[in-house]
Amino acid sequence: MILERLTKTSLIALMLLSIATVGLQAQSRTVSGTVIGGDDLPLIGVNVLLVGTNSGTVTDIDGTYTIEVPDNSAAISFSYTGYQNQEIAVAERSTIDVVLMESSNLLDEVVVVGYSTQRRSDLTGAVGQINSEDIDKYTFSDASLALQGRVAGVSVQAQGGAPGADAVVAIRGTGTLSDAGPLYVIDGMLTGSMSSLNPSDIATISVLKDASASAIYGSRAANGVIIITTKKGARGEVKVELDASAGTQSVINTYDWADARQYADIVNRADDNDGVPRSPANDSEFNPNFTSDLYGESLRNAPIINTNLRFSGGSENLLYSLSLNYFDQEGIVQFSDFKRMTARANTTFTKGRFRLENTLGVTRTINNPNPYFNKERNLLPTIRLKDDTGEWSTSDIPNVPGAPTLGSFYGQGTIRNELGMAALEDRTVTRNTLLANIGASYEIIEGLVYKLNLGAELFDNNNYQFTPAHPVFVAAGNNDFADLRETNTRYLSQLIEHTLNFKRIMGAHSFDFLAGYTAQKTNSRTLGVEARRFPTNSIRIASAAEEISNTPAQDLTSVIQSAFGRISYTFDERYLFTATLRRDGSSLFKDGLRWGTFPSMAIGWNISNEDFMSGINGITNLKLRASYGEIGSNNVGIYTTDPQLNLFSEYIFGTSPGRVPGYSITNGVNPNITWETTKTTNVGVEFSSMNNRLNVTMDYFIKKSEDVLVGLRLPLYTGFGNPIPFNTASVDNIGFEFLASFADRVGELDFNVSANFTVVNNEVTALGDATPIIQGSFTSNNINSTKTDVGQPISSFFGYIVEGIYQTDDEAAAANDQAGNPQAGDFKFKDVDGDGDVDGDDRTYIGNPTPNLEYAFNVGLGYKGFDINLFFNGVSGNEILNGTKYRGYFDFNGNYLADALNAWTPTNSGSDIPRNTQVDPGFNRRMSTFYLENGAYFRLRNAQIGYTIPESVVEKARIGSARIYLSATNIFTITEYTGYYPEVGRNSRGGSRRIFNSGVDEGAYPVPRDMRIGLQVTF
Amino acid sequence: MTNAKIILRSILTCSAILLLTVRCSKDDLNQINPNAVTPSSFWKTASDARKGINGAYSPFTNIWYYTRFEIFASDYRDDVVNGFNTSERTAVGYFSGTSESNATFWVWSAIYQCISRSNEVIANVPNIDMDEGLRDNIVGEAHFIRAFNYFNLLNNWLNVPLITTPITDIEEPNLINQADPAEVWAQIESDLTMAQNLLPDTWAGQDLGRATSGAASGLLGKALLYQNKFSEAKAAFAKIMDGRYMLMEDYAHNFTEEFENNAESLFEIQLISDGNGAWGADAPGRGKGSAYQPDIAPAGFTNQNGMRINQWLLDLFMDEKTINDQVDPRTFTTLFFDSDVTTEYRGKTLASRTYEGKTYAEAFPNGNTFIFANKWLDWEFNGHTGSQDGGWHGAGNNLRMLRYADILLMFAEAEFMLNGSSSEALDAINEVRARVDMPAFSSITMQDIEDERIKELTLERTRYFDILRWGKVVERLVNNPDLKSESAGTSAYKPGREYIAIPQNEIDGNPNFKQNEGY
Repeated sequence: MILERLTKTSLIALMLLSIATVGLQAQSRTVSGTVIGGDDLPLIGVNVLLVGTNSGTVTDIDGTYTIEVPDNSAAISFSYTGYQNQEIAVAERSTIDVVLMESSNLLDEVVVVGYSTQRRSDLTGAVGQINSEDIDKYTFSDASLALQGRVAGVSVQAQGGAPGADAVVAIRGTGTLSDAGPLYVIDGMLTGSMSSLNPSDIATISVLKDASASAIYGSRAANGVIIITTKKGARGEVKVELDASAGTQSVINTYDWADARQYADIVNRADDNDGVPRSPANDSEFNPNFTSDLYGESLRNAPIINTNLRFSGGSENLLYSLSLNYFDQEGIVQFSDFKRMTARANTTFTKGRFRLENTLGVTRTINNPNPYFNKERNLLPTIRLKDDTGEWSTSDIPNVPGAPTLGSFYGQGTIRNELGMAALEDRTVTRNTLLANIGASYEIIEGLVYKLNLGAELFDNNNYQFTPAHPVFVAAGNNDFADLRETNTRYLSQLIEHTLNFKRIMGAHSFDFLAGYTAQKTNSRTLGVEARRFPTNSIRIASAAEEISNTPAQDLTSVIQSAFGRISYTFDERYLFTATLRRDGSSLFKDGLRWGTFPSMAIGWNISNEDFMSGINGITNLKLRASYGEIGSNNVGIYTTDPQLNLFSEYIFGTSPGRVPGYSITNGVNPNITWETTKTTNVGVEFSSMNNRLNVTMDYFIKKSEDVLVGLRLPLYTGFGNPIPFNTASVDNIGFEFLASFADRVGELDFNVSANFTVVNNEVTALGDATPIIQGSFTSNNINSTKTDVGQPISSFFGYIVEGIYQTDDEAAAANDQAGNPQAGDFKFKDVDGDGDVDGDDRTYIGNPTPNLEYAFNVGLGYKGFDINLFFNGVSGNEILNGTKYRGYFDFNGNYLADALNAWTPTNSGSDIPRNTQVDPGFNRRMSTFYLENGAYFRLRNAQIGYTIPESVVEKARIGSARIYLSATNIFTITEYTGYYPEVGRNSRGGSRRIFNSGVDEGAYPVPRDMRIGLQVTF
Repeated sequence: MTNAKIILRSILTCSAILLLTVRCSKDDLNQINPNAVTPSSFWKTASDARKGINGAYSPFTNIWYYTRFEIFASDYRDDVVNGFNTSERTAVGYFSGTSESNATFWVWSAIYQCISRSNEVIANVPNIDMDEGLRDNIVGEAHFIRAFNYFNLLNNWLNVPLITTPITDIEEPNLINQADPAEVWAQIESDLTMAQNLLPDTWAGQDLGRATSGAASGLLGKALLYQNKFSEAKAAFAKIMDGRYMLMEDYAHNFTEEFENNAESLFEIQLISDGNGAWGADAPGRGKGSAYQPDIAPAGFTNQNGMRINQWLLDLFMDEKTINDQVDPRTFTTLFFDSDVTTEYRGKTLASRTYEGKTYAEAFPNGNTFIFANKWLDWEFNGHTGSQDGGWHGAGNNLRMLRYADILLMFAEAEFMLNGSSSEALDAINEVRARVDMPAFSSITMQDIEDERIKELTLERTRYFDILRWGKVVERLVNNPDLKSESAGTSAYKPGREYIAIPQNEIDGNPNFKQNEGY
């Protein structure tokens, strides 16, 4: 209500303001000329603008222009991407020819910062920015992947390669014990994700890394802020750009699973070792015709297509851009695919002092995931995937009276046909998203601009899953009836912002003041249905079900109100000062703890502008900057502070047993929680040399996150099983970032190289009363792998150290193992504390899932019409838990890796794989170094080779320009990791927080290699 | 523009902005949760009282408790069950449990959920203006639930905190001490005495399954017997040996869904097989059937491959014949084993059969020789071929926690300890034996009582606690590592490990807590 009223009144105010605009009247004449580059060739499309106005033109095909000027005191500015801007006073001339010098000068780059833009030379904070030129060089399936390796300090990790999967974005390490990610600001709208964007709609992505830059976003900034602007039109004729690419994706590495014969040999040996009779299917009745290759059948080469069409242009007052995108990715795992359709309309209207900007993005995504791929407990290779009739099945035992049971024929183990389940089950997540923003600004007096910004994000999400009645599901332990689960969520987030910005230069003093007020309200309302027993498998709507078993529903609202301000002051372009302050009030917290203040301050010194530097030609720019600030993370679920009764503590009573409702208090609540605070100190150096062809930026940061929420498990005797959040943990991230770029031209060869690396050390420095967090399960048999405790990085691997294999029973008995009863051939675990036994005290920290070094290189080459761009990145210092080893060597619920044949036997005593056993008395399966592998990798992440067809050819075809390209991802990867791919993300098993499953790989959806051919045409 | 115009325009704009800003309400920051009832508005009506007591029963069907994991803390620890494989959840069964093991954490947690919810009922329901009789019944149920759970706590952990008020009434709940076990026993006795008086003898219709006065008396007797208070125990048992309970004619009827809440039953965990699944409790539509059956079922029939039965139990059964010179009919209900022997019993021919009516040879054509469990698997009921038919949480077969045969045997034991092989003791034990055609004893020893308990009650969550209270854990288990040969033997035993480790969570969360001996 409040927001709506606000919106309405604001609009009225704006209309009044716009009426007050004044047109300009003046005596005019024309000026014309030619603009050429350093190589004496004409430059086409140079922006020629009358200084101080929005009127201007662009140069034509010969580099010529004509512009109206009001009088002799006018000045004209010439700007062209990649060249240094020039401003020329007209005086009495009517012809002005200009030579623009090429520039790789980042200093003039305009950087998007919170609620404004700044010249890079004026920045005091650590801000990384990438522009559309960097993004458009490559093809990305998800917008967040465009950031990967591009900005020092930003870690982007794909969650496996499933189509449509989100990536985990962490800025300068993880300073929270939750899955909270950065705040995204898309064209002014504050939101939680950028995955609804079409990557090629992005104009800039700006990452606010230190507190000086991000404190303007207050209680939501502690995990970093990513500001995205989308492409606008440019003044000129209608430009039509078409970019279409199509290609194929393939799996990069596979596991070598046992075939039926190998499987039977492994299990027979295990049964012999265990003193258990061999199963008929593996021995007396082994049938070589009954075999399956589950993973061979599950993986495929899959097509991917992407089409972008953009219309843009502009007149004196109006700039417009309309883009359409269709992206269709089949998964390299059968029965998974993802489609995204987006439309984006951006317009900018300017009239005198009034400016209206509209951005509107509409996105529809249709995701059909395959949640069954590579899951624990799957089909044995001695069973066919499909029976004689071609139907998915889980047994080849003939259906005759007296036939043996599954277990007695095939041996122990669950038999699930995961491929059949994926094929039969219907799963679709459909989301329609609208992300819209209206920004209206009015320059009240010179330099003072009021802006009203209204944003809305709206989506409806339908999550649909229909499991038909089928023996494959019954065999997996499901019910023998069809089951429908469908949930609809309606989400609306409304934002209103008023800002006043005053910029003025007075001699050597330059001021920039910003003040603002903002409110944002989000609501999500969910209604779902769980229904079962359908007349047939083909009717898949809840109303047809015999029984509605559940109707889950939820309504969540949160509100944040804030005031903020920023002062930037520059003296003589030498001394820079910035201070920001934001005050946030949040409905997530109780009254009294609700309001928080987040200050920051920064100073900068442009040393190269000092007189004493004027003689030093080698250095064109040298800047030092330092900042300190406090920012927050409102990392709390909605209504977390409200005590509530659980309405679902049912029990069964009655002569005809039935459920009766029961209420109880199941969750303890801490009403006194508040935001997490991160205190960041940043020191940076920027350095340019060789006429700005070489640019280097280095930052050192100390990020101390305090009052971090940690789940404190109260003693269970309180009756509360939930971890209750308390602001008692602290996490430090200390790191160093380096970014360098170099660009030059040798003859007709243009080249640019950039490199960056980030070193971050993460350490939990306090947990308060909370106990260490144990998680990281990689099997449904309750084996945890990570521990988060004081003095260690978050989610460190914790377990036993494998020292080898016991060669004799005596040696095994002497180890005095308390958790198992090992014999010859079982793992020898290290007695770490040296107390003569092997027990829980011998577990120790054995690895870190988070890389402490991430690095990337980008190389771009241009020669005549050809261009080549290569992007390499790598990580090191981390371990990955290869959970497939658990299934492949130890778990009897499914197939084994072929390598299990090479297990220890008395005659193969050199093996490092323990003996085959299904009973596992030595408890070889326990969490140990056996599962861990070096997670370091170096890869050619993206590559693109393009050829721009010469203009002479293109002109005949009556098109503006044309380029064909070959694009590829993950072309090669150097790694020791033996799983599908070393980019594994976070496992989703167990616990609500995936951060504690970092680096745990249960055979996540493999990241594919992607090869495409594409065509870009401009009309 | 003139200066005046500039100033005017500025003032206008600024006031418009101020106006907009100031009008934003602070009330918007007070968001009330529309999804749930708040505790402060509860405990006002009879309906609240009913819902509250139902909520106290609810954790019994938590997957962490009787629907699955409790079995790892009870039968998996005895000398009958030989669990396959080593795992974190079964570790406590071979003395390898740690303070971090799941069995430790989960079962303890669910038990205290029952207790804390009972405490809320006992504290709040008496203040509700409602029908007095019903109110007494509800408070009585709460006393019973609380006692039942403290009984489990004492026998599993021994040194436990005794909490009898709502946790919010305790000033520093993280500083309370573990109670002297004697105090907890006293509380159990007092709760059950209260329950005995407040509860009705029977419940009818849709209330069937709630705690009764007889259940309270039976449990009271059991608690007294465990403390060797033989004469008080005898008196408690005698109170309900008044004809209100009787043995079912067919022994097997105590373990099937068909004969739930029967004449022999004092207290059962109520389960249902309604197709609902999903892990967990206290959430809408969660499964309320049991999932422990796969942990005891014969190998190859379910995905768990949980355990086998040690040979000595079958030997014990075979050691004695019925009055018709046949095998004890309880053998076939309890076990699945490789033999063709049959017994005629209540008009039926009993033979070793399991799921789908399979014989041993059909189930294990490859010559397995292991003995497996058969009790509770309920593969004959209602078209089932196996209790896991409905998947996880699928079995609706109530778990009998206390039945009259146990009462008779405990009575016999109490009487035997008081007066030796008296006729009262003989009558009680012989009543149990007569039901299964076993010849009457003319005199008994303690060993006879023990053997009879094993044959009658195996896999009914009593055996481990019997050998514990008789001080026989070392003799029966630790000294016979073969009984746990399928996992890790018994070498991890240390004195004190008869009891489970106090969950690490409690030790970490309460500086006054002491870990149990042996850990």
